[in-house]
Amino acid sequence: MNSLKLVSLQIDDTHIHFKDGPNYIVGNNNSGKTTVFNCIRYALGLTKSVVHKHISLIELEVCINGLGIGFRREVGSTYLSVWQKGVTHKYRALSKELDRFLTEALSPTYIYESDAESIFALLNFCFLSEERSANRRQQWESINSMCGVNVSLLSSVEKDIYALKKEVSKNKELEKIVDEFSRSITVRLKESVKIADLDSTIESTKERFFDEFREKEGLLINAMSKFEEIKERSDLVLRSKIAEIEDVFFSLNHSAGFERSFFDGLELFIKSRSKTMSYGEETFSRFILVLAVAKVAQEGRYNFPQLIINDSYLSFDLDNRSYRRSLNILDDLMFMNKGLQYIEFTYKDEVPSEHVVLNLNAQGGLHVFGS
Amino acid sequence: MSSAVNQMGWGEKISLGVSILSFLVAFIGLTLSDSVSKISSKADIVATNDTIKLNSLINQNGYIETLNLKNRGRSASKNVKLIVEFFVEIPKFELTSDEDIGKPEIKGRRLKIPLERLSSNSNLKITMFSDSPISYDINYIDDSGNHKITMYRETAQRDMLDMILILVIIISLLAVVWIYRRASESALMATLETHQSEIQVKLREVRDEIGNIEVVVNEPNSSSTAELNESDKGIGQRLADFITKI
Repeated sequence: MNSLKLVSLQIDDTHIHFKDGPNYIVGNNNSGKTTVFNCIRYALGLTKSVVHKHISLIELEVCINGLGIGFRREVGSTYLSVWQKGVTHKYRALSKELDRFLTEALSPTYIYESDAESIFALLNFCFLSEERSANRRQQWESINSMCGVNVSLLSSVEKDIYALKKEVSKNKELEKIVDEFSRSITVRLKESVKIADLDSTIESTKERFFDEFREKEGLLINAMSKFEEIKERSDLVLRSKIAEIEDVFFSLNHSAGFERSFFDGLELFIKSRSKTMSYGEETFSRFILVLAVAKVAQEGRYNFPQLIINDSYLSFDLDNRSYRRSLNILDDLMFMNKGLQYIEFTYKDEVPSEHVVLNLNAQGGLHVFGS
Repeated sequence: MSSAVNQMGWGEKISLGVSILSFLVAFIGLTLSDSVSKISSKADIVATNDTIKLNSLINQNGYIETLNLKNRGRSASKNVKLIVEFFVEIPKFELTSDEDIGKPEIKGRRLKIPLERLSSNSNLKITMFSDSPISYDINYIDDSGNHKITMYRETAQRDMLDMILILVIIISLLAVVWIYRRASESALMATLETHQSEIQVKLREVRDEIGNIEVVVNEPNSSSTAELNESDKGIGQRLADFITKI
């Protein structure tokens, strides 16, 4: 998959120029950090909700595989303009056309070639927000997509097979009823009138009538066997890739001072809420999970766009030591993975000043709050 | 209250300890002082004195000392024996009182004046004359014990000390109240903050659950693109495509 890099963001009169590597946007509570975060998602067409009623226009410039792409969206509009090589297209947010455009640009790879997969889940995974942690099932699907599993394809085929199975079973019942009915009719007719080749006539009529049913049954058997086959392969790939992420995830958690006993497994950690973990610990571990994915995704075997945008409140009820350790982990990761772009929204002033791309405290908050 | 103390910092605990200690010391000091003890004692004999130095105008040198003893207490002092211990020699003296005075007894430089009683607000006046300055100590013995009499002029100093002790008591009490109030406020704030963070966690859990439900409800938007793309096709056609294409 190609990497996605943010180049610049313009929210009305506020300009932000992003760099490779770490980028920090510093601001106190209510200074507009999350608004900027939401503006990026809004400009990319990943959300329909209005970011802030006082903002009128957002322009975002990104770079995909060395190619510059611009996104422009007026607040309140369901459409966004996307320009590339001087050509402008208009897409509806979250539409399949936008999905197709982004998929084409980012070129994620899946086990089976399919145009059914959505790029939005993959991109959403890169945005760490308070709200994002809520969609556990979607997160698990995102991880699956990152591992190259055809989540949408498998899901839609499974649904179709289920629907067809129901239809076939209904057909079988119908056939049984028709069989019984035709048998009784034959008996009665044989008693009253003499018709030549009555049995064969009825059988051939039934045969013609139920031909379509049999076709569907055959299709169901074939589809099921094919589905089992690709599911088995997908599971195999998924298991091996998840195990790889899991190993890195546990080792990073250990480095951050978290014990393995917190988690019974990566899948369980993502899908369900641990009673033994506080919300802060869980948010922090999810941040570690994204770092783990970024670490294993260096080799390009995963569908990860090499971008992390972090607006989660990491130090919530967490001791400062774990936070500092996580920064060391991040530094190591940035050192090893030069292609990774990391954007963090933080209230902490002690971040390296050379990496601060916007200090909302210095300018008295985003203009919409300052006014 | 104990929870408030438990949540205090070391600085506040030390301040509280110092305030309580000051309060106790001042309270004990005030309780033991004459000003307070006189309230409860039955008799309180105080003395005032006045010295006059004679000069050449009247062709007479010497000193006239007037010692006035008065019972300021609430009740009479019975079987009083006033003992005046002179430092040099016993001067000439004259006794006047509104009570009956017994026969004075002189032993060395000690003068003992017996009185059957010295009622409340009664006094005994001793007028003395000597060529040299007159100096002495006085104490009295009555049914309640042996008491030293201090000159009334010291009362002002005593009152000042009492005032200081009262001030210390008031200040230390105010300090204790203020420290407790501050500690209670801090404890209340801490409790509120704990509740707030608990509520936030609960809200997030609720949001979490709602988020999961939302994902399930909105599933067609996220995961079944194929279904949307090919909604016009029948299930059979889609599965047939799936078998052939994949």
